[in-house]
Amino acid sequence: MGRRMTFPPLWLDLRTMGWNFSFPLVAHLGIVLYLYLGQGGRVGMLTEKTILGTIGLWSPLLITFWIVGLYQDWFESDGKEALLALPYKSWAFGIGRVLRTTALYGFFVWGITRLLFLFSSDRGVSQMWWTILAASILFFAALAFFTVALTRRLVFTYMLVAVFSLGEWVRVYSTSLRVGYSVPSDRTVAFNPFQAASPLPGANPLRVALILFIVSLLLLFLGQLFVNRREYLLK
Amino acid sequence: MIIQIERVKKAFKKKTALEDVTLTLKPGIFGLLGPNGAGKTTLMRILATIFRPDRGSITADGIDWTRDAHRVRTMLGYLPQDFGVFRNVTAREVLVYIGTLKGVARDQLKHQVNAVLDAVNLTTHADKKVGTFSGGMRRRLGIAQALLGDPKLIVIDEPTAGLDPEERVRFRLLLRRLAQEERVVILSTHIVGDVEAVCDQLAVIKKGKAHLFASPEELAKVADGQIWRWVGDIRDYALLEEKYRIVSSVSRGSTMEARILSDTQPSEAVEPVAPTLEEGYLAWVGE
Repeated sequence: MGRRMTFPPLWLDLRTMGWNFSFPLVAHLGIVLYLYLGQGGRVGMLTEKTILGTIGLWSPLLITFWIVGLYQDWFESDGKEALLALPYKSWAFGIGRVLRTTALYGFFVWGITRLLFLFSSDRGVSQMWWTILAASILFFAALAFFTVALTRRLVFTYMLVAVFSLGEWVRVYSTSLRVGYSVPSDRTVAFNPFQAASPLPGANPLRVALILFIVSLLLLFLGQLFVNRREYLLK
Repeated sequence: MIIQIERVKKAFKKKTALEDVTLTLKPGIFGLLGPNGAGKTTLMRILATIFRPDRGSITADGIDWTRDAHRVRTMLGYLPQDFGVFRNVTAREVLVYIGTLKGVARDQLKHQVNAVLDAVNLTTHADKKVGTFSGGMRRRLGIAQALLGDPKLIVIDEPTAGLDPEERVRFRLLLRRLAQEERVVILSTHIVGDVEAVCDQLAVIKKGKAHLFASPEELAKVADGQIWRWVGDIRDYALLEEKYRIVSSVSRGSTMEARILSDTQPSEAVEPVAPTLEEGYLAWVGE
């Protein structure tokens, strides 16, 4: 008796995404080129602040494409009924695949960030920054998963994530400029999905990462509740 | 395996899709006929464990469809009306993906994928992207994925829709082969020819209610004494069509031959004939 697998092969999960898989990769290469050429192609001019600000903003957002791509055939194709009748394990199909894909994406972003630091004279990326970046990526993965499971429509998912992100970015950026908002204290429950790019002044970074992590778990759990209901997914 | 469907009811908001459906499905090919919107697809989706019935039960060999849905899925092959998934990958990759989720062991997967590709005549297109496939090819791929994992129960919704005549014949032969292996194969269709060609047992579903027929011949008998053959001048045919319910007609030069469905003899110029399955079906659904 051969070995049975719970998850579909990772390479096939990625292949089925189509352009949703390629787009974040191309966008990251674009970021590398932009930052490299932005300093006149010279090595050593790129600052840590620029790298962290750019990666911290765009990398978490771009994971949306992978998560949506992961579920496009399951939620929005003509033959999704055939897939919904398969004996997959719901948790593996939902949270399991999201975490597996997010881990791969995180590894890719880590590689891109290390690559960018080759163009910089700065070398120090703190463990805390990596933690916050990981929490931000997980948050956007969970948000995309929850939204795509809720709406079962790719376009709605992209729109909702875009509107949410824009609103959050404006809020965070305004706060960081101390315009119109009170500055959070070290003990404030500060929510900031862009902490890696634009830290809230005064907010405890570990606390922010922890909040992002908890909210991510909540979104993953809620998304999973929708995924467990095959009749809902068929609608 | 004998599947027992007992008083199954399913409603969507205020619309009742199925009302007290009771059927017994034995090994072989079971045809489910009915007009569009009669509730066939809802019953198929319940059998495929995507929908749960509001009331009633489905059981087979001690397995309950509601309580043991995962177990049912492991012995199920399901092909819905449309199969347009995974357009970004090749047919072979689709089958590997679905075979994995069906729990086909890794060392048997390649062999099974090749076997089902061959069964549906897609071997030469196995490494082409599904997005480039015609409707008929996608349909055949859908059939192939339903066959993966050697399912004991195969549920197929509108099996020959979109297939050309050659593919249709091939598919019917394939179904016959499958049914010889002690499987229950359920076909939902509104194409009476499919049922006539392959089904051992059948039911007609009308407005959410199902009626079981022991054989296609029994359904044909429903129209006994109601089918009349008329042969006459092509110019008289239009008048005939206005007055009676024509179930089929054939033009032969200047004359026409027609079959009329009527409880009483329409005219002196007709003769009673034995009904076909399609005529029995039309008499039953009353459309």
